[in-house]
Order: sequence, then C-alpha cells, then structure tokens
Amino acid sequence: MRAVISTRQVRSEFVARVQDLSGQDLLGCYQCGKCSAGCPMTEEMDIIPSQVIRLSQLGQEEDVLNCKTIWLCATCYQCGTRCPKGIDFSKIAEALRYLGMGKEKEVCGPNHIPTEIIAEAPQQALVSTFRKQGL
Amino acid sequence: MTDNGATYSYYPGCSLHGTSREYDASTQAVCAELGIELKELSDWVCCGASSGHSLDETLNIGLPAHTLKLAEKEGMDVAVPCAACYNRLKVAEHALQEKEGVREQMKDLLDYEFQGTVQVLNLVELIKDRVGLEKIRSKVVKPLTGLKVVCYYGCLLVRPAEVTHFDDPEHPRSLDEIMEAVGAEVLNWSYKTECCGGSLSLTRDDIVKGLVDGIVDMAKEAGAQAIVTLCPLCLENLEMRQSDGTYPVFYFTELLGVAFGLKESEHWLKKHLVDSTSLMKSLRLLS
Repeated sequence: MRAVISTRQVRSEFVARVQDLSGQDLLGCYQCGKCSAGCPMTEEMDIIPSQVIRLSQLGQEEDVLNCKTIWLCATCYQCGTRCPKGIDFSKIAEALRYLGMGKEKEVCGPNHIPTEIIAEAPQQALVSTFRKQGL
Repeated sequence: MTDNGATYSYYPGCSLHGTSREYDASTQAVCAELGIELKELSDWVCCGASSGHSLDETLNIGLPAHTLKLAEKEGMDVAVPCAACYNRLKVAEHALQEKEGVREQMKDLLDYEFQGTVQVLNLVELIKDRVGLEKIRSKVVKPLTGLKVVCYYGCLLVRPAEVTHFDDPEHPRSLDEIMEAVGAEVLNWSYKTECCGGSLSLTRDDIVKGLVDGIVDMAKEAGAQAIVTLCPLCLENLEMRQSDGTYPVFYFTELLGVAFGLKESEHWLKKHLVDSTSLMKSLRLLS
C-alpha cells in the first residue's frame, strides 16, 4: 500500500476532528499493540486497531474510513482498559464511524439485515445492533 | 443513604419493559423481598444506547442527562438493571462532572443545572453494597445447593473503568459473591468480561456465533451448568447465538428469586429462549 505522508495530512482537520469527536489523545499512541492483542474481533478485521490509530495519526482519511475494522468494532472497551496511554480505541472507531456515515461507507449496519430477520428478531437484538451501528 | 427500607429511583429502560420483562419482574420482586422500594422515574426516556449516541454528539449526553435530571429532582439514588443503560448514564454523569462545556450545553438544551447529588447504581452494586451479603443470606429459604455457575459481567458494566468505576475491570467479584451468598457453587473462569459481540448479533451473526460459543465452551470447561448474568443484551445474545441450543443463561435476580422461595420464579424462567427450568427441576430447586 502506497501512502502519501505530508505535513498537510498530518496537520489536517481530519486528525483534529477525530481527536475532538473521540475525546482521545490520538497522537499519544506509541503503537505498543495492546489494543489489537486484547480485541475479540481482530481476526475478522482487515486492518487491526493499532494500525487504524497509526493511519489516523498520519491523516490517512480514506484508508481508515474505508476499512471494515471501524464497523466491526463491537465497542466492548477492552482496548481502552488495557492501553498504557489511556487511549480508548472504541471511541476512536465510533468517531470514525460518525465521520464515515455521511459518506455511506457503512458495511454491516442495520440496513443490511434482511426484512424476514427483522420481523422475527427479538427487540433486544435490534437495540443491541443500533447501539453501535446507528443508522 | 442506608440499606434497610430504603427507596430508590428506578430506571428500567426499554429492555426491561420489552424483551426482558422477566428481568424487570424478578428485579422488582427480589428488591421488595430485600426491603427496597423501587420508584420508577416518571417520564424517563431512552438512555441513548440505541442509535442516539452514535448519530448525534448532543443526544449522546442529552438523552441520559434528561434521566439524570429527573433523578436529581426525585432526590434519590437511581437503580439501573441494564448494563447498557447504566453505561450511558455513567457516561453522561462523567461528562457533566468533568466538562464545563457539557454542563453549559445541558443547561441550554434541557434547562438542567447539574448538581451531582444522586448516584447511579447498577443493580449489582445496589444489592451487594447497599443491601449487603448478610441480609441476602438471611432471606434464603432454598439455598441453590448443587447449582454450578459462572458469573458473566460482559463489557458495559465494567468498562470504561474510569467512567463506571465498577469493581475490577479485569476480574470483578461482586456478582460471584452475591451468587455464593444464595448457596450456588460459583466457579472461577477467565471469560467474565469477554465481549459477547451483542452489537453485531444481527449484522454479522457468523462472527458472533464464534464469540458466543467461545463463552459457552469456556463456561462448560470450568464445570458450570449455567451462566449467570445481569445484562439483557448479553442474555439475549448468549441464548440466541449459541450452537448448543440447550445451555441455560439466567438473570441473577431470577436465581435470587428461586433462593428466596418466591413462587413467581418459575414463571420468569419460562420466558427464556433456552430451556432453563429443566436444570432447576433436576436439582429440585423448582418443583
């Protein structure tokens, strides 16, 4: 994967917006990888949580908004509990979903659930789904 | 506020008024037995754990803040059984405590001057810390002898730890102690706070089946006959997505009801997706 890393991208509004929306010190991450190690979803993800953070730090907006990872994050907060820098990846993923939503990037939101499943699913399963994939 | 004869505000949330009515009924019955009066907040709204918090930055705090406002008006600590509701209310409380901007925003939006005078308590905290294990033991008429369980706390009660401040985020014990107090054999296991993947249960059931099976397999490995939990989202997901199809999952309040000899207990258990009465009958805990 080729990437252009320039001051313009690193200092872009995108990086500031992710920090602001998530309330997390994005630039504080030093890539130890504990978030990815504890994450129950990594085997399903295209890029792992620590990589999403690194790409976000470098302003690689397109890569992170297009990845499956932000939609597969189950918001279980395990990453944040174990991060030595107190950074919660769940909140970063939520901020990225929020930024991606307007661009119809969503890959496993409720819009993809077949109607026959919706008709039979317990209400709680729907609430659970909407909890993180609010569309 | 002390335990005996205390009154608390009660925030059931949508789960306990819908799919998890047995959690609501068992919570109310068990609290009454323990001398706690639960007064449901009038005019409560969605906690925002549904789509609200991910769609709108203001609703994220605004919805649960509305409930905090109602609770402060009532002046009593508020009991919250659902882990997702509890999480949202704690997030709002934390933001209101920490950020002046949020306090200002909520003043404009809800006409709410945050005082921080009431505490948000999960039902486990209420029963273990406010009521206490001694009182629980004193109410047991049918000890859950022979019932081997593991306690499953899930994500939203224990995390983020700096927000919920519940027990230990990696190795909580509160629910284990409650279940021990009513005579169950509580086994140690490593999946207490593992994620069940509830939020992907409908969209990516292929992944979630693996997560749920991992939890059920580990419970069996530990020697447990059933899982005990407190989260309606987890319970529904653990029952619905397990390959086994026969492994029981209980709300802890249901089992307290059985131990306290409450006759409605059997009725609650009938509402489950997985048969949970056969196990209780085989141990002669239900007739």
